[in-house]
Formats: sequence, C-alpha cells, structure tokens
Amino acid sequence: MAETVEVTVQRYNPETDSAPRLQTYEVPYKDDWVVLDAILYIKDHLDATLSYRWSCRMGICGSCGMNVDGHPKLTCSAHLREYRRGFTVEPLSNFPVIRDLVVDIDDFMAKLKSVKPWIVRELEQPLGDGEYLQSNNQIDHYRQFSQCINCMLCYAACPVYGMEPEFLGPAAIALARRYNLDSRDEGTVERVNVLAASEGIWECSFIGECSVACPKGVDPAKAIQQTKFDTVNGAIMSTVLMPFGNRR
Amino acid sequence: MSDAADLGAGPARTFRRPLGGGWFLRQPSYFLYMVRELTVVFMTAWLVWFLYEVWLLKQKAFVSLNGNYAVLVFSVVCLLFTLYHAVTFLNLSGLILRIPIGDRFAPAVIVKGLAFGGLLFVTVVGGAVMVYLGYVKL
Amino acid sequence: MEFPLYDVLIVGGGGAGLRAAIAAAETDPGLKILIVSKVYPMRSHTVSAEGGAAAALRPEDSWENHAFDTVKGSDYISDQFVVETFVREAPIELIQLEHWGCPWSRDPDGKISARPFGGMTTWRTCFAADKTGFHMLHTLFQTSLKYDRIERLDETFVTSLLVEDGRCVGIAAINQRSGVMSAVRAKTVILTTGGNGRIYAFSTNGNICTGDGMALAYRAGVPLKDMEMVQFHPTGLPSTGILITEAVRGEGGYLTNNKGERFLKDYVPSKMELGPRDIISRAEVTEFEKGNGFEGEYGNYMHLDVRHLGEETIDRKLPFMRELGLDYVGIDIVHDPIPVRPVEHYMMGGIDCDITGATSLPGLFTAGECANVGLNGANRLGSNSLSECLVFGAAAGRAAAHQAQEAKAPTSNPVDALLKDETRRVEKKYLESRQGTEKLAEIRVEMQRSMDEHVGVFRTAEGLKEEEKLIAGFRQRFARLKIEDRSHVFNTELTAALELDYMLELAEVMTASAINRKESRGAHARRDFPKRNDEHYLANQIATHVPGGKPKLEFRPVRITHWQPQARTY
Repeated sequence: MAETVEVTVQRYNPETDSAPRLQTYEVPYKDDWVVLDAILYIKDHLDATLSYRWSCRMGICGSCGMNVDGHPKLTCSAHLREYRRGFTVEPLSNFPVIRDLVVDIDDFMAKLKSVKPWIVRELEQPLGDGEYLQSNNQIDHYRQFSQCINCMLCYAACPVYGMEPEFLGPAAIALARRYNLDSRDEGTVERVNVLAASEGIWECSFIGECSVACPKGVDPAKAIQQTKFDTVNGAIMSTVLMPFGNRR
Repeated sequence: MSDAADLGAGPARTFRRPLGGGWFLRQPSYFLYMVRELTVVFMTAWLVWFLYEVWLLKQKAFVSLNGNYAVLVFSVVCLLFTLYHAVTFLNLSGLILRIPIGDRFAPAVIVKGLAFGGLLFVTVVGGAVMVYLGYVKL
Repeated sequence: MEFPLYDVLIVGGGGAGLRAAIAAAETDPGLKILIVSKVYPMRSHTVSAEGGAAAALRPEDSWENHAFDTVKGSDYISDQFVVETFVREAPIELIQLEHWGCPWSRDPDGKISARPFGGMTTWRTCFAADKTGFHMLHTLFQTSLKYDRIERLDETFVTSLLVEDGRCVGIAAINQRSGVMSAVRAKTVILTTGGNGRIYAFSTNGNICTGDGMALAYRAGVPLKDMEMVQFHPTGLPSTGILITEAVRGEGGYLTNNKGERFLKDYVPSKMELGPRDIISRAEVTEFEKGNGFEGEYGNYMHLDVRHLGEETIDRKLPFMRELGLDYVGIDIVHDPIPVRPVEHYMMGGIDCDITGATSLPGLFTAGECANVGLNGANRLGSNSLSECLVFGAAAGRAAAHQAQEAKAPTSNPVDALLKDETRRVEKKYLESRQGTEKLAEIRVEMQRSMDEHVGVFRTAEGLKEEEKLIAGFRQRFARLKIEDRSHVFNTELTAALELDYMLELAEVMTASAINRKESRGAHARRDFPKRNDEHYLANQIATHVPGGKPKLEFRPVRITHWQPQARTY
C-alpha cells in the first residue's frame, strides 16, 4: 500500500462559485517531492480543472508562490516531508483571487514600475568607451537587494499590505534601494517622491515578516529601514546642512 | 495600460479575501509584533504619570510614594516593556546603520555593540546626574 | 470591429523579446510596440540561465578566435557570415547591458570579468555570479519599463499567426484572465518564444518551453531549420533535470565515473571537462553503457566534483549551485560530489531566418532560441545563447522597426474573418467536443518518455522509425482528446492542450529530420551512421509543413566564408 498524503486545496471558479471552497485530494507521498509535485499530480491524475502558475521548478522564476498551511512559500522548494501529515494549499494572501491558486498581481506590477527600477543617469557614457568601472565590493553594496525574483511572498506575509493595499510594499522598495545603491545610478532623487510618500516606506511598521518569508534572502525589511534612515538623513542634509549643496 | 488590454475581456470576478481582525493571532511573530506596538502604551502611561508627579512637585503637593507597591509594580512593568522595545529596536541597528569604512561597511556586530553601548552610557550618565542633583537618593 | 494596431508585435517576453522591444523603441520612439507573453516577462525561461554570456571583450581575445570556436563548435554547419557578425556585435551588447545595470562580476580593475567555458579557447564568458540569465532578464525587463511606447499583454496565449495575402498581419490570442480570444493587428511580428525542451521528459527547461513560436511559424508555412539538432547538457540533476551550470566545470570541476576516473581523458583529452557539450554528453552515455556510471533511482549518473575548489571560491563564484545542491539533492557541494547526467537543454534547430531575423513570411521576424539564425549549427557552445538573444533580438527589433515605418497597416475586416475562423477552431476542438476519450497528461507523458528514449543523445534508425509511428499514434489520440475543464477564466488545461498540440507537431518534424540526416554531426549522433559526411551533409536541413502529410525535407548547403571544415577533435 503506497504511502499517501492528504492535500486540501482552495478552489475558486468565478464562473460557478460565489466564494472559494476547499477540496481534498489523496496524493502519493514521495520523500523527494515538493508541494508543487503534489499539485502537478492532482492536475495530471485527479482533477484537470485545477489552475495554478509554475514554470522553472528550481526557485528562480517566482511563479509558484502559494500559501501552504497559512504561510507563503515557493511550492517548488517546499518539501513534502515537512508536511507529512497533510497540508492545505491556498492562493497567496493579500492578493485578489482570479481562479483557484492564481492571484491578480497587476497591483504589484504597477508598483514595480513606479519606483523607476532602471539606471538613471544624467550623462550616458558612450558604449565605445566600455563599461562603467565597478568593483565587486561595490556590487556587494546592492547585491543582496538584486536577488529578488518577484515571487511576492513578502507581500503575502505583510499584514500592512493586507490592511492597506496602497502600501508600496517590500519588493518594490528593495528594488528601488538596489538601484539607489548601484554606483552607476544617479536616480536616488527621482525615486524619493515615490519612496517617501505616505504609502511608501513610512507605511511600514517593521513587522519583519517579509524578510522571513523571502526565499532568496533579499531582506526587504532591512532595505526599507535603511531607506527610512537614508531618506531622513538626506532630508536633514539637504535642508539644514547643505541647502545649496550637490543633490545626488 | 495598453489599448489591447481589453481584448474583448469579459468580467472576471476576482475574489478579495479580507485580512480579518484577528490576523495577529495567526502567528507568534505577528503577536509579538503587536506586543512591541503595545509597549508604546505603557511607555506613554509611565511618562504621563511622571509628568503628573512633576506637576505635583511644583504645586508642592507632592507626596512621596516610596514604598507604594502599586506604583512600584506599575513602574517595573513599564520598565520591562520599555526594555523590550529598546532591545528589539537596537538589535536592528546593525542592519540599518551603515558606517562606511573605506569600500566596505562596519560589521553588524560592531554597530550593534555601539548602539547598546550608547544606551548603557546614557543610562549610567543619566542615572549619575539624577543622583548628583539629588532627585534620586541611593 | 476595430482591432488594436501595433507597429511591432513581439511574441515572448524573454531575453530576445525584451531586447527586441527596446531596440525597436530606440530605433523610432514613435512606434507602438507590444509584447505578448503567455507569462509575465520575469518568468521567461531566460531567468534560469546560469553560466554566462560570451563576448570577445578582453584585449587578448579576438573576434576571429570567438568566431572560429563557434564554427568548430557547430561542427561546421553554422552560417559563417552570421557567426562573424555575431562575434563583432556581442561585446557591444554586453556593454550595453552593463550600462542598463546588469551586475556583471568584475576583475580587480573594475572591468567586466570572464571565465573559461566549454569549447572556448580563451576566457570570454562574462558572468553575473552564477545567475547570469536571471540578472540579464531582470535588467532587460526593468529597463523596458522605461519606455512608455512598449506596452505589454501579459498572460496572453497566442494560438495562431494571422496571415492575409501572403503577409503576416497579426496574431490571434486568448486572454487567460477572461478566456476570451481576440486579435491584434501588427505591421510586423517578431517571434521570440524560446525553446521546446518540454517535448522531452528529462529537460532543464521550465514548463513554458513548449516551442509555441516554432509551431506557429511552421503552420504558417515558414520552414524550420535543423530540427534534429537538440543539445543535451552534460550536467543535470538526475531526478529533476535541474541545470548545474557549465560554469562549475569552467571554475575547475571534475567529471568522474564510478571508478573515480576523470573519464574524459579518453574522449576530449585536450579540453577535458571544457570540451563541447555534445561530446561530453556522448562520453557520459558511452561510459554508462560500459558500466562505469553510478546507479541511482533515476538512472545512471556521474559525479561532478568541486570539493577541491574550496568553500570561498564556491560561495563567490557558484553560490546558486550550492543552494540548488542543498535544496534539491540534500548535499553540500563543498563536501560532496554532485550527481549529474545528460539532460535536454537547448534547441539549435528553429525557425529559418536571415541575419536580420526576417523569415520567408513577409512581416514575420524571429530571434533567440526559437529561431535558427545560423549561429549554432549542429552544436551550441555554452554562453553563446545569452549573447545570441541580445545580438539577434536587437537585430530583429531594429529590422522590424524599420519595416514597420514603411509598411501599410493591416485592415480590420480581414483580421475579423481570420479571428472568427480561429475562435471556431479552438472552441470546436477543445471546449465543445464531448466525444473525447483521451487524457491530456497521459499523451503528454508518453510522448515525452518516447522522445527521451528514441531521439536522445544517441539515435538509431529503428528507434527513430519507432518514434515516428508513436508520434502518429499520439496525434491520433490527441484528436480524441477530452478536456475536463470547460471554463474560460484561466483555463490552464486548455493552454496545456494547445501546447501539447504544438509539441506533437514539432516532435514529428524533429524525428523526421533526424531520420533524414544520415550522418553524425554535432549533437545529432546516429549509431548507424557514426561518421560526419561532409560530402552530402555539409548543409542545413529545411523542413516545410505539408498540411495533412509528412514534412517536406531538403538540404541547403552551408555558407562558408573563412573556415573550411576540419576534423572536430579537441
């Protein structure tokens, strides 16, 4: 008798359901399977109507974020052996549900764009002059914040985002900081308006769960608090100490 | 958004799941966060009481409450909450304060050490001043 | 009914597609550009590329050297003019990407660093730690957000190219959010849909790599080229097929068999672990057949050993590999050897196009893995593909932009008629039919396993003929498919069925092409024809769709400029 594990999945079909409901399946248990494998099994063998997102299955594309037993996880890296006694899979918290385990991430996409996540420079060096010089140490300044795979587990883990959907959110702020800290970028001033807005960094009350949930060690909570510190510092510097000084 | 976005799109009713009032009971980390936020209440309460005592002093109606156990307990509770707040806050100083040393930054341990050291220093110096000025009798 | 009109419409939002969009936007800021992708762009499979992007950046390197390495690596059926152009453009593209913020790892002098890679005679593979594709894709995607003229239709699945009067006039696509099918008119269309690895059961590719663009072009009458040329990467994790980058070998890793020998001394003595991928994959399989492989639950495997590199080097140069080892195999590569085996990875074959990405269908361009511009021939060198996306993505973007400036806008009425036909086709075949008996997953898995077995590293006439019959059987069963999910909103069973349809089409072409090339060259290894035959096969194989019949196959001689074919030994 092969081992099995009970998987409860939240289902929602807007064409037939007025609200989400739970459905339970019996899935084979394999020691080296991840939660995604269980979900794939359900779709292939038990219930082809289950909809979800996935692609790379190696924790780099960011598609397969879902709530497993109430916690946001990348289902391609959540090992079945940690849920031996059965588990529940739901769509990522704090996002509207489109269908089954698929959530609407348009809000996040808009926020991503709003922080101007690109190199901002007054003068571009001509390509023929080669690369901007940068040391590996300088890359280390922003390296951590550049690891974000846009999986949005941090938004799912953040109660502030749950209560105040206008909050810019951990990933967007971390990405802004990634560019602010990049030695080639000159765009800190351009990003300040979005970051220092009331729905920006100041909405964050440092619960810290975003960094706990992040599967890539980006530590967005650190990015946000550092941004708060730098923004205040910058404001003091520019108004009190160097009002006519160089703005960068 | 692009014009093409409404590719004849019919209404797709997304379902919004409310966070719910009891969200902070769902996880220990959420609960501890609320406790941390609660510390503000105690700190404010103690500060208000302290200002009241100062006001009484000015009115010369001050009655020494040394030995009043209610005030003692209240003060200790407030101290514990304040320390919890201070420790959690200063613990993060290592992450947040970036002190540049050449091309790199000071290690987190050192920054934290400085932060806690600073707290200790202010506590000791502040206490010494209070004793010197006679507000606190040892 | 008025359908939206764009100047340049790009299908697929990965490395090549995003680069094409930016190139088109920079060519003419007045153009309206649309990226249509079945996933959000940051999910494109470019994101999983690890090792690096090659370019002759360093002063001690030269275009000629990079070109020769590539031509030899291709086993002499690359288009040498294309190769020469590529090696000149690649350095500029890497600098451009750097200017856009890509965190290339650096040398002590602050310049972009390079590492050794398979088949390259000098260190020219530039890298961003061991997540080069990830950084490249995110840099391109974030940079694309700068351009207001670049719009996007995310999670929109293209089911057909619309062709009117012999010209490509747009696409028909399903908006996954609503399930509604509609059309977009475009003066030019660029296909940048990536590879088709999911035709195989054991592949490094993600779920989305189903060859959509190749099938779309093929069905529209555009020929596919060298569809028998499938690259098997030597080092995939045995159970999942997750890629362990060639950079591991570039940094000095050893491949050892169950006797502890670095067995490549018998196959590629001068390059050892840095030989080209096809030769190393064949070496591994040959060793397995000799009984020198380790035996595991998921088949034979070899050891890839980096213990001698030390923790510091591994954490600096291969941190992602260490994470993957811990996460998926439960080993720490600092202390344990990595189990690896050959795994399907890349498609050299693809849509036939010229150096600007133009195909035989006016208005249709292509770039990246789904295209076969003539760079990789019978075997691709590692780290040429990311550079390829940049160089030829940009080329196609510019070419399409220039053509769009002159082209007439397609009118809506013909598009309307085409769309109605297409909507009918999809609904009738998938959503309305009640007669079906076959399950989607069963057909797919059987196809994948049979392709692994018969069209893998080594091929035989019997195996290929067997595969031909099997695929015909799968296609018959597919005609009797039963879709369980009849809903419209985000119906992933429907999209999976459409993808399987594409894959079956391509599997047929790949198998037929493999049967027809009666020699061994590059990644195509026939046990019954073990030698390379330049007399007959110094050519690319062109496959054209014959509706209702087998693909029409013919050979087109290769364009040679400088390098005459030599024996390909390393």
